[in-house]
Amino acid sequence: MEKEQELLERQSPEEEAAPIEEAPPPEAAPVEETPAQKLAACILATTREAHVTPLKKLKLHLPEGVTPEEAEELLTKAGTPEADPALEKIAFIRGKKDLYFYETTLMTAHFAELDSLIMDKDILRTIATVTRSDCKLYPRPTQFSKLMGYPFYFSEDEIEGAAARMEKLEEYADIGVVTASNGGKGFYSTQFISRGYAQGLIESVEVEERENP
Amino acid sequence: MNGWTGKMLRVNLTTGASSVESSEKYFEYIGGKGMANRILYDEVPAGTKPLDEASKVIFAAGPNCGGSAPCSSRTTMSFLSTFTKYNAICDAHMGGDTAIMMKYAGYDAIIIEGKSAKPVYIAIKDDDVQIKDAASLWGKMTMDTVAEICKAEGAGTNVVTIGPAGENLIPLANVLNNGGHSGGGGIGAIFGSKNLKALAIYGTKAVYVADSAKVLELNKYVLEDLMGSNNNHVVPTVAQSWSEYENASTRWTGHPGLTWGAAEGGPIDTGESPPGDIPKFGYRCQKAVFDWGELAEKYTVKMTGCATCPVRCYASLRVPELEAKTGVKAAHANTCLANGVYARNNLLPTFQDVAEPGDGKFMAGYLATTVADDLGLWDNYGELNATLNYFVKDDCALLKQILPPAEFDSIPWDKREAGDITFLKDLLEAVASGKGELSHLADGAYFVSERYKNLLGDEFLHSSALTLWGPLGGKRHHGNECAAQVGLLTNIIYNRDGMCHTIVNITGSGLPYDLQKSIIEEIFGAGALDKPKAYTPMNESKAKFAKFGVIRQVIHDSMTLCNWVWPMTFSPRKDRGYKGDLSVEAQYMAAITGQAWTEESLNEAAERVIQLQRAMTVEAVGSTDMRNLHDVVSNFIFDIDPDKKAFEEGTVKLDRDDWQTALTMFYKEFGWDETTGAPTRATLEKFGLKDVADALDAKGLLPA
Repeated sequence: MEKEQELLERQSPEEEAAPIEEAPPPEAAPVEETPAQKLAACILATTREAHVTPLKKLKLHLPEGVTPEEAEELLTKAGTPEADPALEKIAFIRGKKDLYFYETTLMTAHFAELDSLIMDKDILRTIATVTRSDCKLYPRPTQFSKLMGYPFYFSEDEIEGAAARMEKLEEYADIGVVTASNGGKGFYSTQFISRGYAQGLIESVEVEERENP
Repeated sequence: MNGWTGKMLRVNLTTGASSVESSEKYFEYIGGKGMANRILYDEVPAGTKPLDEASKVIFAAGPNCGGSAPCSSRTTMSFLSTFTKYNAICDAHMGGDTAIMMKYAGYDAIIIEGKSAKPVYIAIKDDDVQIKDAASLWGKMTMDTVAEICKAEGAGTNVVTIGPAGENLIPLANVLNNGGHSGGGGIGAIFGSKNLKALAIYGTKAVYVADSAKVLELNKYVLEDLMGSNNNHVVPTVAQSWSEYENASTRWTGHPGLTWGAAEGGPIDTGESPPGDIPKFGYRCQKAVFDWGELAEKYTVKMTGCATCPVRCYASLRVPELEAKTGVKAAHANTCLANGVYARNNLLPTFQDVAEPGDGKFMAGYLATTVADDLGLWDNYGELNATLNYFVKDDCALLKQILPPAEFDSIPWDKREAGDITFLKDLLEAVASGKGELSHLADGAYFVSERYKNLLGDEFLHSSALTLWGPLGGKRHHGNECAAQVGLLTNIIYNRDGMCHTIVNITGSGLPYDLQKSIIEEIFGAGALDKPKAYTPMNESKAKFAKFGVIRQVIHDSMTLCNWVWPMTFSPRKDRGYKGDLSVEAQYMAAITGQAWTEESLNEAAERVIQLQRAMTVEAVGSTDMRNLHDVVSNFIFDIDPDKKAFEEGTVKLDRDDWQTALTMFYKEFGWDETTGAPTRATLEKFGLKDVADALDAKGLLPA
């Protein structure tokens, strides 16, 4: 209250009445975004759409003024101490076919990995990676229904075909399939759970949970 | 007064009188369940049967209801069980707007007593309480009754009603408010026995809170930092760009590409709904698809739910093709197991399509749920369906033995043969009619077993076909399949199905096991939480965890908060390490009432409620030997998966000796006699229940 009074006393009536002419702001010269900033903006926009940005695709649609060489040099330093400050929130997944970039405050490394697997279009590796993760973490088999939905959208035929192919490949020797009493199927990995345990768990997630919701 | 209204309404249907009394003497029982249980203890003598005129029904809400906390409008009703052995004290819990309307009308509780000479309904508008003629409503279905009473009393009135099942005194009859929120336990039959068709409430008063700024701060904190989706599942069902985990079993089902397909104005995509994004909260739970499967998406109008609930777990569907073909109402909403239960197993072996190829099973389930709710027929967490299936299996072998030939032939078996889904309508209507022998299959499993003992022997009550937690007749409900001994211990507390969701909210949260384990063990000690289907023998940490589950459920049902979402054990936020906050309930109690509630004092009050309930159960059993007369669990729990041993990976099988150890440890946690499981005088007195101890003592029902 005292402070308000003091301010009023200091301000003369003339001062109070005088219109205040605001000086126009100085014309700021447009600041040209750096190539790193432009790339970060591109990746951020794709991340907002819940997708990683493949490097090859980015190089085909580069922001104006950024060369493919610049883009590659800047982006492959993402996540390292030498990274450009504009790219400090950008990380990438090294996929089988490409590098996949994402903005880390909006997208988790987990989702980026899934999306990059999907973009790599390697269904066997996708299924094996997801299965090993599910069996290790939760533990639970990876239901076929999970792979048929968002964000994978594999068809049942594709999944069955993948299961048949994995059976013959050494690198997927740990991956098997269990079937619940309702016919629902799931993949499991013997790296993390036994077949017997997987069989019990697929019955839980396919049948028993529905009976005890 | 803050939180509580300080008043309760008594309506006597014999005399037609109503009166308002102080509710303050019950505040030490918090409210809701606690208050209702104590009133029942004080006013209904032990030995009373549920349908006696002396039997009463108490509706109660807690101090939190009306105070704006998320999920704070469930209603507790206490009464005597109609369908389990001993007809002991039992609660039912109902969503919707009943509790909040009761508070707005100015009451913490409503006591309904006596018996009317003719059909009536109770109409409450604040202080105006009237008993009105219900002759024109008697015989009507629940949804029509709601519509009729709302026409008479005004839109916005909350109507709790029975259907024909309650009128016909079917022990598995329920009440429903506003058509889709149901409360079971047989309360519908008690309404029917009193010639009470409905309770209609409209309130316009305020519920005052002591510290409104703190309440709003807590609301923001809970919504932004702690609450996930239905059952407080904190992980989405499918991967979302913001999430570290996904788990197909959770109820955080909303995701890009999944819609409310029949929404007004066109489909609405549920999209991504990251933690902290409050405006998108209501899209997290696309419950129709969770309950019914993918077919339900296009029939989903919206998610709905209870007052003050952001989760919206009631899927409102509209299936016009079903109405066109069968005449069963197109629009309906319910939640939980009731959805689709009668289309499971073998009541109808095949299903005719309705609107498109392959939709018959969905349509049959939806039809049966709608019909059962309209009849006010409770499924007892699937027990009625299991019982009906038990009797129709093997070409109706058992059914043919209990039904007179004429009654058997009156059932439209040709429809069943053809896969005509209206067979389920005919069957449920016959069950709810109260006529003939078929109706007795809705007496509750215990009484079914007693009635047909010579046919069923002991097998029926102990079988995996029924999955009762025990031969008392209560359905297993998040029992041994949920955290092993921990879940099953929470079941034996009740005189009906186990209604505790505290534990399943934790095991079903969607978080990886190691993360769950580290948070739970920090609270309860090493070994508290087993891996799913990889159980270990009983230990003290599990006993503490089980007690926590029960106590929290009592806190929620008493103060009031929804135990289908609370407690906030976990959080969806990575930056919190996924840890929730178990102090929030006490913080709400303090902010709302202005009293110095702490987590400890709230736990103590809730334990008082459980000690009283246990004492009432001892009285009903008529013996202190709870271990052998009440807490007995079904044989299937020890005998399932015959090729596996208990504690082997891949089974939820328990071990008989280990179960006895579990009971002993659980009794110890509650201060009960470790041999019998009955409350001791010392324990009862510790919780201020000396009068209860004296009453038990006088009947020789205190352990030696």
